[in-house]
Amino acid sequence: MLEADQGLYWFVVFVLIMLESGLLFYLIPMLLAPRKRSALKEETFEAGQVPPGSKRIRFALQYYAYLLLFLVFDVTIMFLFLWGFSFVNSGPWGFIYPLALVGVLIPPLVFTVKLSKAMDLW
Amino acid sequence: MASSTRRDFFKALLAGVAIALLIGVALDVVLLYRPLLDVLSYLFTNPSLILIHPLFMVLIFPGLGFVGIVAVLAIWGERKFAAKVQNRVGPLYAGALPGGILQPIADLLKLLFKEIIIPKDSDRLVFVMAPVAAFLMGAAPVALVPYSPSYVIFDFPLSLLLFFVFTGFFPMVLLLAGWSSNNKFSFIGGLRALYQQASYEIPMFLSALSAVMLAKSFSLMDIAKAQTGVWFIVLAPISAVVFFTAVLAELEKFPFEIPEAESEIVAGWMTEYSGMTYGLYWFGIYVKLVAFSGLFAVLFLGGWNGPLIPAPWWMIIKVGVVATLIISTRAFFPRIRIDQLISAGWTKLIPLALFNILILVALQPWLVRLLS
Repeated sequence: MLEADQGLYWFVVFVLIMLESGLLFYLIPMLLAPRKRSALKEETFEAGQVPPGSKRIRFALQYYAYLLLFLVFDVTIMFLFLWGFSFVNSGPWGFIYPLALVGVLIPPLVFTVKLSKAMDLW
Repeated sequence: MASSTRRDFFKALLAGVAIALLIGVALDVVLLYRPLLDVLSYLFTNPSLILIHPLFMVLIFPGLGFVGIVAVLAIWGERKFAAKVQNRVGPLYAGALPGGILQPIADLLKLLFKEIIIPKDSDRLVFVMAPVAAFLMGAAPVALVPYSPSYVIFDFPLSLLLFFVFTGFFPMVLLLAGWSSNNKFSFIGGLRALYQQASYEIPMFLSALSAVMLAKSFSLMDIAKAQTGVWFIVLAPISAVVFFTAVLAELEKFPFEIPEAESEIVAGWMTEYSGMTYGLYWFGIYVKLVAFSGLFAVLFLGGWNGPLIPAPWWMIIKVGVVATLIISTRAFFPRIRIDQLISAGWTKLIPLALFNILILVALQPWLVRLLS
């Protein structure tokens, strides 16, 4: 078992030990800390006030355009990473491919930054 | 009725945590009894072999013990440094050691004996498990950072990508924590963490890509080995600066400490957390600080390469320097607004990082000759 994949084996052990130390940090206060419950203590915190109405109110997602832009970039970055992997043995395509990818990224960047400045749309 | 189910939840949680811990300890015994026997036999025959055993790495040097000590020192150092700059004294009295260096330990002990309060409107299971998940997502990348050719827990061919996989989960955990708290402040904080991550993950990837291009590998080990001659901060200074800025945003350190802005939204996504649940978040963030300091040192500062003293000591020094730089921002910078942060990320850092990649493409033939 040890010879199969040393690194992964010890990575699993490391994550397991970290998880256990986290759970141990929970167990100690649960067993030892005093526990005096009251309705006010378990109420939602709202800077000293008892919160009126529902807590799950709706917020404006003003920067939603940026989250959409993140989707565009996140996918394209993967192709850039693939190209970065084959940096040396790339020949003339080594220049054309990244230039094309960066060129593809620029129009959505300009468009979305302009769009996200128009705050009243969101 | 409602209060009785809440009490049941606390008991069920206690039982669940205890059972999970027992299963974990049993797994540990199964996984570790042979390595433990090895280590014990080394103790009597050849003690120096213990220092290169993987169990030593997991428990002490790049693993649990080292990370814990550096995290505690970073918590103390951040408070003390900010205090010195602002002409205060800072932590002073805790323990017998000078400078109040035991203050984080005292804080930990205090948090261990505080009550865990679970708000009655929260999604309780997610609320309670989010800190553990955050701690795990902060701690797992530590195993991927090499401290010398032999001191690495998991030497994986795509370790840089695996590092980003774990750190990319972090804001999702924060958003879950903010949503499950069922509190307006928490949810705003979680959303801000999400915006921040979406704005600064792309520049971070792009600037890490320049190190990948120079070393021709995704393995952090190979990237560090490629820097025996010249450090990548010399070859790609722009991406080092961009990466450092993105790390500050990723760790929610000071100019970008927007998701937990105390003076605006109480404590952001941590508002409802109390006692050790809060402490676990706090500790997780500082463990993540250690991981990212190591990543920056490996990508741009040459990893363990250096003259005179042995390799792991160089890495420890570099991690210390980077961590000090990161925590010193607390004393120097004010907090910027969320819209400033997002527009700075998209309109300045990303074009800079793309520009830097184009520079590297143009210089490719020269760089290849320089590094080979």
